Amino acid sequence: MSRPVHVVRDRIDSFPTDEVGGFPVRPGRPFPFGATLVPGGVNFSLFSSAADALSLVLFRLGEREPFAELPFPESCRIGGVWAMTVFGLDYEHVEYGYRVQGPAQPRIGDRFDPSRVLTDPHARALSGRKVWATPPQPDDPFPHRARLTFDDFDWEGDTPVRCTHGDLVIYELHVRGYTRHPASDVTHPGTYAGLVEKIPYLKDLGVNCVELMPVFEFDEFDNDRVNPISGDRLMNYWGYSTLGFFAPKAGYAATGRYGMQRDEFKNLVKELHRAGIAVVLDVVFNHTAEGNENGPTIHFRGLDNRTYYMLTADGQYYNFSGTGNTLNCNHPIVRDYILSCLRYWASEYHVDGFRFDLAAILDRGEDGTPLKSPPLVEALSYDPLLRDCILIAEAWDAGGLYQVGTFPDYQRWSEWNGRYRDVLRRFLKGDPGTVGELATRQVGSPDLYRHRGAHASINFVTCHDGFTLADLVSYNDKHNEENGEDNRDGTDDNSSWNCGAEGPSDDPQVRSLRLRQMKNAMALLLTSQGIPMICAGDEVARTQRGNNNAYCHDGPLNWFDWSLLDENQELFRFVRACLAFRAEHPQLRSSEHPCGEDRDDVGLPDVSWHGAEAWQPDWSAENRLLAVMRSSAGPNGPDHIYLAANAHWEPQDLSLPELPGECRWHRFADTSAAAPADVSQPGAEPILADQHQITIGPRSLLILVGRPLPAPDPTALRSIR
Amino acid sequence: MTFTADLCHEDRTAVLTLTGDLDTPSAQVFQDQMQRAINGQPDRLVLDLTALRHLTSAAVRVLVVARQKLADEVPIILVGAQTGVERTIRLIGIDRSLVFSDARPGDR
Repeated sequence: MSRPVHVVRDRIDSFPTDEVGGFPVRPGRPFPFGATLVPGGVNFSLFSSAADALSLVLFRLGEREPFAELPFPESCRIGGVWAMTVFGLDYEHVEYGYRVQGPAQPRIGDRFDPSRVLTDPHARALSGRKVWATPPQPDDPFPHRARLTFDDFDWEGDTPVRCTHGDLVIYELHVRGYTRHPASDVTHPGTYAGLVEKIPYLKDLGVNCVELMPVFEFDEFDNDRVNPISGDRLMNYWGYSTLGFFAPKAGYAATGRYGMQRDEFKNLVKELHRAGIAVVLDVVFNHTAEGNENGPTIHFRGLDNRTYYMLTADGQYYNFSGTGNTLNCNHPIVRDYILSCLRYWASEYHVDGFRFDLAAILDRGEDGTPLKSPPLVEALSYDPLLRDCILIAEAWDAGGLYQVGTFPDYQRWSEWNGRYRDVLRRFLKGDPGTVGELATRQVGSPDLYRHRGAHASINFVTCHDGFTLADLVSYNDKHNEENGEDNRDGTDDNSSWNCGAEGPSDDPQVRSLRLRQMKNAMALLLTSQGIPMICAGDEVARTQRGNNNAYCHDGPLNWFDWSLLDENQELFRFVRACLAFRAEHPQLRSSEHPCGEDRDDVGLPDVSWHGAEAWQPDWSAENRLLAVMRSSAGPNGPDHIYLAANAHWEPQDLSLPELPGECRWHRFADTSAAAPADVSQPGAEPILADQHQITIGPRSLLILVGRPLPAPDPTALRSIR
Repeated sequence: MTFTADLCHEDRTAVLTLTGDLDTPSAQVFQDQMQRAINGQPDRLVLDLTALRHLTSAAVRVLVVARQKLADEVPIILVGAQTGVERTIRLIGIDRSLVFSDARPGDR
């Protein structure tokens, strides 16, 4: 029999004790920072190490002038934290900011400016850019106001995807660009909701993790340049310039105009998880949207400049990010800020991991010196809430720190393997002296990650930053004229090759070679040990017309043109089959680097290297042929894979290594063959007529699988009798 | 437009008729009426939204909470939802636990 339970409805601290600016208030709770809805009111909490005074500035939704400004009484301050609960606010129709007074002494790093209303760095939703590219009000002094929101959501039992990191296939995409093109055929183009409609496509392709380019609130108008060819205003399209670290981008939500972007983003995560797809966020903690000394004062600069930014002795900004400022990541306050932010996204939004932009900056001390044991990286590595999250470092920065293979990993971190990308590109275009390194990259880069395992390597050929795969095989040089910088921006180190003609070509030979080169790249990527990452659209040959730094274009140049799916069905089919092949062969996903021994007792070493002659690899600089055989115990018996990659412009005859027992070679892929013979469905590969010799085409790739012949069909035997 | 929420019972069906704009201040009225409907332990709960012009996140939250309080076998049927109202509910993904209908049960 149940007993009556006393339910506490009224709490002692749910009643005001004072009045400020006509509003009932009481001293607030210092934690959590930010604005939190509490019974009857809103708790506002903010930290500043050196502020003299603080006031809360309240606006009615969409109005330029505040309707109230509430100074924090001294009784609302504990140490450097100001906390006040304000009662009676209509939370759906109020926006807020802070006015902070303190010393303005730039030479020692203080840049307090009480003429500015500051954005709350902990704001969970920001207004001002609710609908993508809606022109901002001119001269609006404070466009990025914080909004008040509930955190609750009906997750329907959702949990993060519990997937072994090695099984991941990452697919990097831009939320808006993925469905904004008219050919996307979704109900709400360019939004989180639009992406939900493309989940069946992702499943069909075979990826199981999306890496979303920045979804933290940013200002798409944070770009003053003009496209010199079209005359259009350029934008901050990619979003690598964060305004609100706790707030999802409202302009990516069909419901952003109603302030429901948080719910819509959570629904996206829930639906992706329901489909077995993990969500990794590309996060930018190396700099902020405030820029250098001439940039706008948005939040940190006017709140606590010398805490949040790395400063020189005379108060100037270090610029290791290449964007004007550098977040002071290893300061204890900033470290806690970043940690709490990531905890928030992992717990509140159920995201499964993070990719850190220019992560080498996370290793730098307050004066920019790289630290051997950076406190922030260590804290992220051991954080209880982040334990199951995949942590990925872009292990370099714009200050020249390159840490691929040496990023402090604490046995937790993976890295974008820039060396994998570079050598694979150079091999494909036929550069000499690449076979040896390609071999190392193919088996998970043991030279870089011997003690960390192959999963430390995020393998990729292309990403958002640089050429698309189609452009990698269509352009020798970048073509960034539309970026408005006279083609000076973007890297000149692309290791690309146009296959005989610069840009679009009607030449059948050129087109055929480009298609083959794209297949070669995808087949190498998806059979390499490590975690593969595909740049969205590469599976259908998406082009950016040779622009390798398309950060500023909100248009067809960047949008995923879904008509390419029909146009380039052959490539799509090939990539999908390679993904299925990877899923069928656990040894390709193993964390353990091969050692050259027969560890699984399958009759062959786990890795062996070959050339035109079996067991005779050629590591000389002028050789452009690599053949590798992988052998292990698979779920259905011995699993043998033979991969030959010929970057030479002529075909070559190969002798094949002999398989043990009753195993026979079957052909999975041959990129020199015309479709549909270019690739088979895993498990349905045709047997090779000649088990000893095979010819590999020029600039082609061959993948064979060795497995026992199927047992004779007893029914067939009876009929023969 | 002023929000109203009128509750009536038809046999074991609770019918809540909403009109106007459902924003934060009116969400409390909506919540109170929903609680009354739930307290009646209906076999089904019908929300007549024909004359509801707009709803905000506060109202959506009342819907979600009601769904969690009612037994699984008790459907919440949304009747006559205008395009904008239905779209909002679908975009944030709570439509799966609700039933959309053009007419009240028994009217067809």
